Amino acid sequence: MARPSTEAERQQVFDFESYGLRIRVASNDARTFNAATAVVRRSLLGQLTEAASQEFDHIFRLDRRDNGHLMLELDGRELGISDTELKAFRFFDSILRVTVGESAAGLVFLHAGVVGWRGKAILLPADSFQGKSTLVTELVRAGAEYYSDDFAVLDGQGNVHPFPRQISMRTENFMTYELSVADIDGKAGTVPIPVGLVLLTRYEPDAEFTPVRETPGNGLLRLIPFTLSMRRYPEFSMQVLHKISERAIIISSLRGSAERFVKTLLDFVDNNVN
Amino acid sequence: MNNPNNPMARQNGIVVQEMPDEVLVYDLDSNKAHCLNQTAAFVWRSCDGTNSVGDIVKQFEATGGGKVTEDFVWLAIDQLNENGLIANEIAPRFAGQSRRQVLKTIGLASMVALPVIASLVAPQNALAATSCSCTNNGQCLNRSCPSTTNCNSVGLCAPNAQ
Repeated sequence: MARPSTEAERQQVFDFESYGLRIRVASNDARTFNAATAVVRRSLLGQLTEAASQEFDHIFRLDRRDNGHLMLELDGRELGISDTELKAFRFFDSILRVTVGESAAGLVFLHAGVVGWRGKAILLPADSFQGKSTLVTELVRAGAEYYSDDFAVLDGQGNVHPFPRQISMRTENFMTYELSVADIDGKAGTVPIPVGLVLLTRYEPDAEFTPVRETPGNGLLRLIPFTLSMRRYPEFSMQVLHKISERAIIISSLRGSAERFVKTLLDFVDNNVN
Repeated sequence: MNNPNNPMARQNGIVVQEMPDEVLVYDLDSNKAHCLNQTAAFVWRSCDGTNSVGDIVKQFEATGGGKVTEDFVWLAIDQLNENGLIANEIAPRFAGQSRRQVLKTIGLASMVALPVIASLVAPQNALAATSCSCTNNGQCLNRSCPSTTNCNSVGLCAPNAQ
């Protein structure tokens, strides 16, 4: 449990609860503070309630130094110094979501793209830069409901809740841009749904879809590296992952381009997932 | 009666998830998860400190697992031991031998599924595991991002955007 310092109390603070956690964001600079609170609301998709507290699960500080650089601190530990606001706030956005994902109460955050298809979720766990957002975007264009391009938020029953942040896209030359689900004429999921399929995949040019069904145990094992809460709540995380492995099909396969692959994948789901 | 020479499955500092044909074991000390296939799981459950390796062979055969040798059970115990799932000190049977040599000793013609333990580590640094965001080059080390040396102008561990 983090306690604010006296100095911190004199500065601008934003106290709130989100996903069962009490969080403070503080800054020594008004402009930085306003930008940081905007990042918080956006990053957590408005899933927060302002609430004063004396004790916090986490305290973030974004302080502007004399040289203009921004310093990000979490629970008294310096995480990074940035010479640009763009870098600082993007980093803060990531750190905030990951921190909430690691310690959210009663939920398991799995690093994965998620869409809903005929009432069941398709989970696409993958590391960054593996094409999750591209694949999710194409699935939504093909009629699937958008749940997330970043995290599968799972409750104790193993159902996936929507986490529909803006879809984060990158160009081949590493420029970034965002898409809303409306930009792609898609629809976002609004209710928790059970997981029907977990696909462990990565892109390779011209790869064919050759699904190999994982055993429940091996499937569960392969989800662990993507499970943010695994170290903090191993027992609960295992229980939730077990529920998924019991009910869902877990397959692995390479895939080719997202545009060509989505029909193959949705046909597979139609034929194999109840 | 416990015999210190008999293998004893570790009970402390682990989370166990039983599954129909497998067992998942999460080691709270190493943050490593292990998936034991049916054969490895049977041997692990039988390691109660009272069963000798010979006893485990008999129990395995008695439950319809098929005919196996003590070396076969030792293959499982060695793997369990290597992965920290045996509580007491047991000298490895196949120390220094390649898997190929071990399988030759056991006999590849065995009709019984060999004991297999697959392992993976839980993410140590969740940010590194889920994002390529950065504020400086040093943060890009040891991350599965397009660059491990460059934090580019848009705050990603990637080559500079053009």
